[in-house]
Amino acid sequence: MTRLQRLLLALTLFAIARPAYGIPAFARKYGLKCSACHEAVPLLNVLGRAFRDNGYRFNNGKDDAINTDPSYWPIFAWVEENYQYNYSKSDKKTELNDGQLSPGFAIVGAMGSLGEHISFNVRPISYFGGISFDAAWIRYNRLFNTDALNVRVGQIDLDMPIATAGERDFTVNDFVGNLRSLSYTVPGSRGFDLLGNPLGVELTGHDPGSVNRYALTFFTNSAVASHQLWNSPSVYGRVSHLFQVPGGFLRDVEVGAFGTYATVSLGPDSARLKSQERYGASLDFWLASDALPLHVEAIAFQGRDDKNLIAGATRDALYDGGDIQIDYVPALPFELFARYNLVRNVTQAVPGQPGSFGDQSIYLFGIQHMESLTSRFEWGWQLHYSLQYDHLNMSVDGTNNLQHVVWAGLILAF
Amino acid sequence: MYERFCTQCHGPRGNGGGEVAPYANPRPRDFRQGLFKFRSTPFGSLPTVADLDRTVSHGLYGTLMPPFAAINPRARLDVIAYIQTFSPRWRNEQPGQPIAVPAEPASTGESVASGRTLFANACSSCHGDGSGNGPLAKSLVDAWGNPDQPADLTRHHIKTGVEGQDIYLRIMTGLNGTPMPGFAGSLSPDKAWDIVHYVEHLRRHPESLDSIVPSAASATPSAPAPSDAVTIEMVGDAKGYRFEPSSVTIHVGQAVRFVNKIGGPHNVTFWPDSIPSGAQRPLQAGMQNTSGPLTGPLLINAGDATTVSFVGVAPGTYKFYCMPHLALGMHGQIIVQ
Repeated sequence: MTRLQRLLLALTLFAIARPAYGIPAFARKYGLKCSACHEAVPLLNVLGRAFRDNGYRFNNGKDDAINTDPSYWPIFAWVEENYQYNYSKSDKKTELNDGQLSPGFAIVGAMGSLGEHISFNVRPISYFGGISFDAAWIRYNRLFNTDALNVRVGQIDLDMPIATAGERDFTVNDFVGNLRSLSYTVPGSRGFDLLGNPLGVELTGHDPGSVNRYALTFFTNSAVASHQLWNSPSVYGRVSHLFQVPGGFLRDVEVGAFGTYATVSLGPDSARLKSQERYGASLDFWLASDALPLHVEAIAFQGRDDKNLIAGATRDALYDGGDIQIDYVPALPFELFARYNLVRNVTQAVPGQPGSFGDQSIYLFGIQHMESLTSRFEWGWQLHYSLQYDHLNMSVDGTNNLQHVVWAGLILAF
Repeated sequence: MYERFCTQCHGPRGNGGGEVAPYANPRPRDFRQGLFKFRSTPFGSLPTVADLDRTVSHGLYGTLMPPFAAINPRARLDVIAYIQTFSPRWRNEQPGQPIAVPAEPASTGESVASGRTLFANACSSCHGDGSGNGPLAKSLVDAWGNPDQPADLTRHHIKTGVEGQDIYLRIMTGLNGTPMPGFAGSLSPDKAWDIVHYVEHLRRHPESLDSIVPSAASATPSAPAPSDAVTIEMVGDAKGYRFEPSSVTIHVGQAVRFVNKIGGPHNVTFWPDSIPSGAQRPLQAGMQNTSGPLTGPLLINAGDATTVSFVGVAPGTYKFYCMPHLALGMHGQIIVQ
């Protein structure tokens, strides 16, 4: 891989990735540890999810800025540095074998609530000297004074299954892509990323404790060029139900279903709107202890891309995807995590392609330590290893591709 | 669970000295004394597990205590069990019997007017016109030495909820560790509901209060005292709050009659650790209409009285205080010979 190719790869990955961490501003505001709302940063626990669903409010009379200490401002910052070692090998030759220290990134954002009904998040991210918005939205809470209807507008994170909602590693640049089957791109098709924080309008609702939830989002497909933004109407939805088990080793179970129908405009009229679909289900369960949980999430889904989006295709591409993720907190503030992602193509869009063309398997293992030194400052480190196996990866030399990544990062959060 | 959710305020040792405690108003609970404000049990007694779970689940409005209702109920019970290890009271005592909340009668103009009169006599020295601006408000401290501002009852939220039964329980059980006494021994359920209706009216229709005519206050008849009873008057006036006399000497078997002369409500509460060993049970038996351990009823109106009999007690010194006015130095002693 040439230097130019590496630079392009790095820039692309920076552009598509997004961070997700605990918000130290909330810890300051409510006098809580990060662990109150996170099983392990950034993975939200049931209290954190209920807090999020309420528009980042506890509704305890301390939510509004006027009722908090004058020293409180809803501003937070993250600074991250990491070192990454990559070893990539195809069937024919070694493609990459080196390590590098990342210039990292910095985020200074504002997130909180204004009065009972308004919540907001403005999160610009700075990297390589550039600035973009990771998220920027405003939310009207409790439309018609009911938790069953809340409206969020802007660049928003789609309501994904629990463990998927927060990226598993510290970095904004998962060097091998997003390491998520939900971000998989059919070879030759338009990239479509459910984790891509599109522009849109979201309707959400929940009952007390967020036992039953729904989210319905109308958005513009992030896979299309910017000049087509409002010509690619898309919709995403998810429902979930939480079972709290009264006794035994099994503590909580959440079942959910999600789906999206996204469009890409290939021409000036609506007849040229072509679809990308993803439909699936998720199952989360928590074992052992609420304080030190063993959390398992399994996702299974099917993806379909319209043949008109794929060069040389004569039929729609169809594939199955899924992942199993395990998060375990053996002792605060440590976390062990592991994930297995897979994609298996069912129908190749281009006749003659081998059935396994584009199949993908990704393994990820890691350990994380994230600790609040004070309610105004937290720090953490993470070490993980990933192995990605791409069948007949045409992006390199047309043969199978194997990539090992060892990643170590340090983050400071204020 | 405690380490995850609670230490930042309550501290790793449960002493209320977590990192953010200096910034919290009110200060986080110190669990070591086993004193819990919000209960269904009589004043002075331990709360039930259900009481604690209610506080953990719903939080305390206007404080840093958030609602943890979303957490698995089993996990909340785990936290409560751990909190109970901080105070030896949980090993030595049982929670009090919950005070029943009778069905709420209809709120009428009469009940609001009656409640207003009762409020003026029993509550206004701290709560003032309802906004917490009573003459004693700025001098009140809690058992931990922290300033304890009376609740502003005109606000739309109070810490434990705005339902009638929430207010009823706060009136009848009081708030342990604070100057807010329990009125269970001195108010009938009907009169307590009258105060509830007045407080609800305060919150919903403060503009109409001027049209409510307080009903006349009258002293509550009390059982006649023995002829040889010694009288101690309870006084609150421009010279301060005090028992007159503040020290008396009696014989075993004699009685002491406490009379609210002015500036009430007053009560008499004996310090359990400043009476002779073994005297707690006969002393408790000798008190009328107790609202908690060694805690006499609140004497709301001028002329209200209660008698404490010292039959069967051991000779020694019995120190007592007035719960609403302890911070103002209202205490005394009885020397039993």
